[in-house]
Amino acid sequence: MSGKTLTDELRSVLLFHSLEAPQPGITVDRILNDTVGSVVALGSASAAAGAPAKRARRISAQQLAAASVIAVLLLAVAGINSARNRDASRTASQASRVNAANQANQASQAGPASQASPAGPANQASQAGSDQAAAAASASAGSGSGAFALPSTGVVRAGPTTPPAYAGNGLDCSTLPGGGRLTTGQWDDYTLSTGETGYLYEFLCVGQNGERSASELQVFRQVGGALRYKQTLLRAAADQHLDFLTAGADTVRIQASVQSSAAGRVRGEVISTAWDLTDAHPGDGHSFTVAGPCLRKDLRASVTEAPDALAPAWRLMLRNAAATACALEGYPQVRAQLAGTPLTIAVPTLSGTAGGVTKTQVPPIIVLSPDATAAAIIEQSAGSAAGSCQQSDRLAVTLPNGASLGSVPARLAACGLAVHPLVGNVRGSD
Amino acid sequence: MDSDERFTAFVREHTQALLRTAYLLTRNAGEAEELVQDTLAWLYPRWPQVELAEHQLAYVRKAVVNRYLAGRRRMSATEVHFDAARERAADRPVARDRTAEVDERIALWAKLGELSERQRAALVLRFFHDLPDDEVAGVLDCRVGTVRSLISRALSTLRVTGDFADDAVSSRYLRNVT
Repeated sequence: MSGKTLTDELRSVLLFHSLEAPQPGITVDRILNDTVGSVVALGSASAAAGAPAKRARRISAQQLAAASVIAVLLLAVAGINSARNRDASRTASQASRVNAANQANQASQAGPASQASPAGPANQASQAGSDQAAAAASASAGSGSGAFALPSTGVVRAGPTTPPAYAGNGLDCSTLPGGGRLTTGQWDDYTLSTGETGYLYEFLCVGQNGERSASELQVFRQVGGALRYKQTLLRAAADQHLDFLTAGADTVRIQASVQSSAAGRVRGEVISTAWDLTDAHPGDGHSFTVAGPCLRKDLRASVTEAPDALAPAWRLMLRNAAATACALEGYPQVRAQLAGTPLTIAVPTLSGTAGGVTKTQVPPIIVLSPDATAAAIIEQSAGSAAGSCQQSDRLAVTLPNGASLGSVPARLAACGLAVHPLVGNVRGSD
Repeated sequence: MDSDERFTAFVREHTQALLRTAYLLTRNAGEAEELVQDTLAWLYPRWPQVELAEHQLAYVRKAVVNRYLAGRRRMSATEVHFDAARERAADRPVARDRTAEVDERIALWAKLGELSERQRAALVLRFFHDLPDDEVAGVLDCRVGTVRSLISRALSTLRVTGDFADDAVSSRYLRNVT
């Protein structure tokens, strides 16, 4: 930094970090909602405030068909051990869906399509394995590729005018690892066989860089024009990050990333859980593993320049070289090195000029199909003078869960670097 | 255009700028949002008074800064903030690589977090908003001499993060330290 004055550098640092301030959309809506009374309806919210809700809605709508099939299978698996002997035609049907979903996932990425057909392993797998693969494919088509889309025939029902207040008492953001602020996440509605309408809401704490603490899932019943709290399905103590939820008639299903190694679960694995809403309690959900956490041996890392980005940027690509899907979530830690000496560590930020996660407040949970690639953008701040930076020769990469991937060749200007979360496509942006 | 409409227009136009100021003060996105939201909600019933100000944005910015400083005073000393934990985490690799040429900007940003709230507020107003000392004093409700003292002590603290060239501005403030 020699040659630069302290006050110049201070101005640069303040300007650079001011750009990390949250976008105003949600705050504007909240202020106006609190003051002049411009109530922002979840179902018809302004673009900024409504984006997460609309995304949840799109997830719900697109997943509905698959969810109904899977929910039926789940309930059957839970209740009948002989489910493992289901007829081959259903297995074949699921395998073809896996294949189609994987192809869709691969097609959404710029990289070469997988040479290994997942239909083979899926055909040979047990029924539980087939369920797992089907859910993984379903997740890959959505979370993994970021390719959720509202079917053209989808019917979007009107939602409640305002989201309910958090009705539990266990989700205190200040006491949870990561802290942050309490926010409303995804939601969906459902109609019981009795004709009653209910709503499911996720509440979670979101930290400065999108680090989230455990999600809590609450059920509300519409009574007249108001939503009345009914029960909590997923408690914050369960320490799970909700990926998506769907609600059908009498059944709700979630997919979540497990953040605790308790109860026989592996930290970082993604599970799917279904509840029968007619008699739902937190412990009654039927769960199975969709994907385990990505391990060092599963992934192949590489770094490429992003010439199309609006700022000097690179993409850290992680390809799943394993035969099964695996899960990722969060920020990779990247350290620029020169001849083995660390130069700088990229600062985790949700998004920047070159892209990143802009459509949600939290990094996505990625279920990475075999041969699929996740990417994270590494970019240099606009205030950094690339010409005066040292050039790195390698980048040391650590997975969000702390597993080191070693280092990969990467020649980049090693100052003022920021890294955005891993996203389930090769662009590194949602 | 009635008062509500003018308030709405102000909120839509200036919330982003206020969030940036708030973020530099709080260093936490959630707290920045709450600070701006609370401040504007508090000012809403007093909006006719705000409109009498020569520079409305400066008036509201002052309210944001004062609310931030008042809020920090109220805060429990034992309260653990997420951002503080993050700073500690961010500091760890830096400490481990003390002998290496780590990015000084990261160190400078981290050091900013160690300053007192009033010192940081003074720096943000002086070097981010480019306000002269007397206007910074107006925002902080203190004398110009106090502002210069706050800034000089803050710059003195920040100076340890790198080998900076001399400049007239910081030299003028740093003279106040001795």
